[in-house]
Amino acid sequence: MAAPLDSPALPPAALPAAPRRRLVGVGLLLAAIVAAIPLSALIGSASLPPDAVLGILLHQLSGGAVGAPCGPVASTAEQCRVWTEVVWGGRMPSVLVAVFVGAALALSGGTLQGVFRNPLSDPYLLGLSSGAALGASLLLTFQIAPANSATLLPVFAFAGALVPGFAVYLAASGRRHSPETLVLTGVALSAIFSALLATFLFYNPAAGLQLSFWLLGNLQDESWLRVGIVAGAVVAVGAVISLHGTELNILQLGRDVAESVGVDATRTSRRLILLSTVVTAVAVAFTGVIGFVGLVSPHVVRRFVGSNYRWVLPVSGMFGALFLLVAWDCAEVILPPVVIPVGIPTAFVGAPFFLYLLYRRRSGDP
Amino acid sequence: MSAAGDAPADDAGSPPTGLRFSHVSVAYGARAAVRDVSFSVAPGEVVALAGPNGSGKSSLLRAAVGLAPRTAGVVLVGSSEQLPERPRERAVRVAWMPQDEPGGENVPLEEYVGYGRYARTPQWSLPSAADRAAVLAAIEAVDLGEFCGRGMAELSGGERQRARLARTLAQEAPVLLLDEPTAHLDIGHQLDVLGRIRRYAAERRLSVVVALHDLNLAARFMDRVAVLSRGRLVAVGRPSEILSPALLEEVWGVLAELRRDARTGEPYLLPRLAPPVGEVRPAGPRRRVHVVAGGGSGAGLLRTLFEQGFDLSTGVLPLFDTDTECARELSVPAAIELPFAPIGDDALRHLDQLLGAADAIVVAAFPVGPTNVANLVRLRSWVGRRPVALLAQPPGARWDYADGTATAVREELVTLGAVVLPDPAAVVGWLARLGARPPT
Amino acid sequence: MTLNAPVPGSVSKTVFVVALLVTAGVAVAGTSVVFSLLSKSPGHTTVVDDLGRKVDAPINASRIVVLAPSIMDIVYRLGLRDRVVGIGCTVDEEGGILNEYTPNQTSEWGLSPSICIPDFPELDTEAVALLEPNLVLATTITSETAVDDLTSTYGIPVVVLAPSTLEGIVGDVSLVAKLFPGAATAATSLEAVLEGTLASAAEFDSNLSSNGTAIPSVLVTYYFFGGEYYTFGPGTFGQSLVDLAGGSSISSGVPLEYAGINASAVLLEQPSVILYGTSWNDPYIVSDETPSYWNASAPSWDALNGTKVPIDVTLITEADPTMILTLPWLQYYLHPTLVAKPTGPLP
Repeated sequence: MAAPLDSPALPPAALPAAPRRRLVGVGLLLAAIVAAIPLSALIGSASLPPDAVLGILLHQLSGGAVGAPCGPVASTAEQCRVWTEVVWGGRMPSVLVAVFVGAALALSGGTLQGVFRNPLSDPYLLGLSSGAALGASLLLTFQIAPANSATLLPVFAFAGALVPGFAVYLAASGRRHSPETLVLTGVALSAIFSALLATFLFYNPAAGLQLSFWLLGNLQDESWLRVGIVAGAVVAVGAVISLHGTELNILQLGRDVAESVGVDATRTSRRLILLSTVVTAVAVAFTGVIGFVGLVSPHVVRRFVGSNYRWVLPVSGMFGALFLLVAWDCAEVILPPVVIPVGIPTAFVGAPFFLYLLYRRRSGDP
Repeated sequence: MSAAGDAPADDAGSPPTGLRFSHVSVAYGARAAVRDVSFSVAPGEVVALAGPNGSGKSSLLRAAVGLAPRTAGVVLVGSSEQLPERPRERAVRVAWMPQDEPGGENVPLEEYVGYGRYARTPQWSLPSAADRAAVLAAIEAVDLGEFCGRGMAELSGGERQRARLARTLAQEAPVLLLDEPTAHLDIGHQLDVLGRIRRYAAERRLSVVVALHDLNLAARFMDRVAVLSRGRLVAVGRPSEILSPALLEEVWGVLAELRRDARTGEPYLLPRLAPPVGEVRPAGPRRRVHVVAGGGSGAGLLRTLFEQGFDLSTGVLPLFDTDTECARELSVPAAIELPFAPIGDDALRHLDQLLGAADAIVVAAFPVGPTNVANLVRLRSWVGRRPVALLAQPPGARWDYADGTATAVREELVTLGAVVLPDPAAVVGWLARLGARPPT
Repeated sequence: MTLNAPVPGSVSKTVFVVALLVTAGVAVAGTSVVFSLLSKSPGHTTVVDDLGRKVDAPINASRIVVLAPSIMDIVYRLGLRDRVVGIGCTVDEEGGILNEYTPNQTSEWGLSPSICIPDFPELDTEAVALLEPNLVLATTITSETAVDDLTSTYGIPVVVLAPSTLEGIVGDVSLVAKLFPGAATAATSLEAVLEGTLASAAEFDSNLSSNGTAIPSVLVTYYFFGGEYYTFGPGTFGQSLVDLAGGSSISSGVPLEYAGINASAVLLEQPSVILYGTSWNDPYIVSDETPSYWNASAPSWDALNGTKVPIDVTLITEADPTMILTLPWLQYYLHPTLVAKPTGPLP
């Protein structure tokens, strides 16, 4: 958090293109996501015939109305059953979780960048990643209810992530604290939790093996139940967050101006912090800590739709969804049959792209 | 109306008000910023809140919108109704424009001004036609119509300031609290904006408080002025009644003169130059220089020598001459004669006294006519007794209106030993060489 | 007495002192040379351990410390159990169970918490030293710092056994035999058995390929978590065992030694045999029939059609003679029609 809190990291974006062009761009983004989902189902450790895959998707989506899911390609009904299990039971949940988690992280990152007026904010600013990892490690280190660990892990991680977020929320409710104070509270909590985590791992290094996916992100272990939970949370919370675009715009002018036009800066900040925390905690609970998506997506989007939060928030969500989905696809195909942690391609793909955006000369720039 | 005095002033007994500060005190921990301030603002009235830095102007305004810790008193709007706590409800009653704000995002001007409509737009709905109309009206009110459609980042500092004002006006609140609305504005826009505020307030019966630094602007545009000093209200009332050099000196520590604007009859204050700050007064006798001038030619010379720390005298000057005014401002003793009258004996005697008391004589390049040629003539008898310097006349300009007498006398003075110097700086050098060094 | 001239007696004094120093130096040097020559004789020999370290170790050491179960296997089979004064292990809260040894091993080898030396997270070298052992047998699990501490600070010889192949295990047996000539007969017969097992497995393997028998695809896994089956890649013992048992591990193409394979990938492979490791100590086990974690988070587990064979995970992870002796069982699991079920219990 080295940048001064009031100065933008990037030069102010020029006014965005006319609203119609903006809408067209957003429509294209949405179309890209919709197209990418079935295409991602084609990607995996083994390549299945595309028409079989699409057949399976159509069959499942239509509730069985479209017959012969595997077409003429599958050799046996048994193989078709396996293919269906793989595509519909394995790949699709992972793809959909990637979409919703990417959206959650991007939305949360954009919101926190606005609330704290700090362009370096990411969804884990308040210590959520350390909290989630700590919650998970509690479960694994002390071997609580070992029979149900896989089911309980997201619960513990979610609860763990909420702790620092809630602490900052309480801090924001107290005496009027500046954004700097809240951010530093999150940083301090993150440090405490990281130290606790290190202590637990020291006590039981075997848990470290299991925990390693937390630190880099893992989208393999998904199910339709998880898709439902994540999608529900992200859509609900995301919608509410996106409605606060105007308030966030006004908050950029400082607490004084916000109060003067009628925005309760404290309550609005608190509410947005809480919502971001919840949606990020849900994401982290199921996928571990995936970095970079939440930080970079809002900045990329600002380059194209301007810095009006009414646009930045929802479009960031869409971009984050596409970004994480593409990263997930990369993670599957780089080193088959091993799936590398998805946090690696998000950085390797995202960072250079971001650098390019930062430094490319635009017409009119000096 | 009370002037500078001991008891805090207020104006109890005024008609029902749009805004009333009633015994308001503000303290930040142990430090008291505002002490027991009471005054009221009627609908349609514009009151200036003036005072030096740190006198509590901003704190008082902030207390009205609940952003400064009010330790006593209440702020009432309308008919004795306390301001609501919640920002949304409050913003509809009071529109406050803070002194500063950080740069925000680059949004279009209408959107920025539209922020002022936040409190009037129901939570999750889009702006209505009424909102859009209010925004446009506010933009017109500050003369930013040509910037519609442009981004905020494209505006200059002054244009931004006007946009901020537009945002405040868009709130359509019956009470306006403006903290330094003329900051960053050039003089033309300062006058323009204050004039618009005045008319806006009158048209819509708004109660407006404007915190200002410039007393003269306050006097010119405001119905009343409230003066704060160290948190206390020391005066409130019409400018003509409360503005005085005594007030200026007590509150701001500045010496000034009161003038009347010939057109409006409103007072304005002209700060006097103080002797150079930090100059050490020497123990020995100071050097005294007499300046012969007139018609404005001596003002620059007088000021230069004054700043260099010389004791001065001047004359004989006609009353109401610019140089006479300058001498008065600098508290320089002058021999005066009636305007357009030839210099009389009394004036000449005074002149002799002054010349006798001087260590050196400097003659400015003043236009000479039959009425004041006696100044030059008199110097003939002094040129031997005192060092005399003549400032060179600008080439080609006519200065001798005395049928050549002035030129002749000048030449004679030069023959008798007067030196001719090109400008006041050269005069200072000449005086230094004389030994008439300025005290350092 | 003049001060300038040297005192007549001081010359001889200097000579005497110098001679004394020289003699002392020679004596010390000579003694150490003699000592080093002597050290090879009764009771000591120099061996090269698996890390290439030259260790000067006592012969037939009477007090040994064993720091890993795989070494304990060799020590026990060579009849040296009663020389063991300390083992590396952790005593759990109940005060009875030794975390690194299975109940079978504990009872078979007669281990008790009283000879436990704490070795987690770091070996307690002081506790080792207090036992006054004259030899320590360790694996690479013990950190270099601890090994260094034992040798330099306490002067206890440490021999590190770290086989990387199945043949290497046999080599370790002979290495230990070198240090305990008293167990020579036991060693020779053990080595013969092990080599015989390896040879017959290799023969069985080549027969399979010459007969054109189908080689079953095998998934050997020891853990499932996060949507991945943790498996053994190329270069590991698990892989070698599967190969030698006449199978083909589906992890042989995995680029890492210890990696996870995505559940969907395994499902697509549909291996004929799934060898899954069970462990009495695994916190996620409810029964050692089918570990609960397989059920709870591997819905694709049910979709796997191959033969699912549980096997004690120590048999395929601890590199000791027992691992080699497991080969016939593995052959049976992979080729139940070709191989008779081995008699006797699983090693």
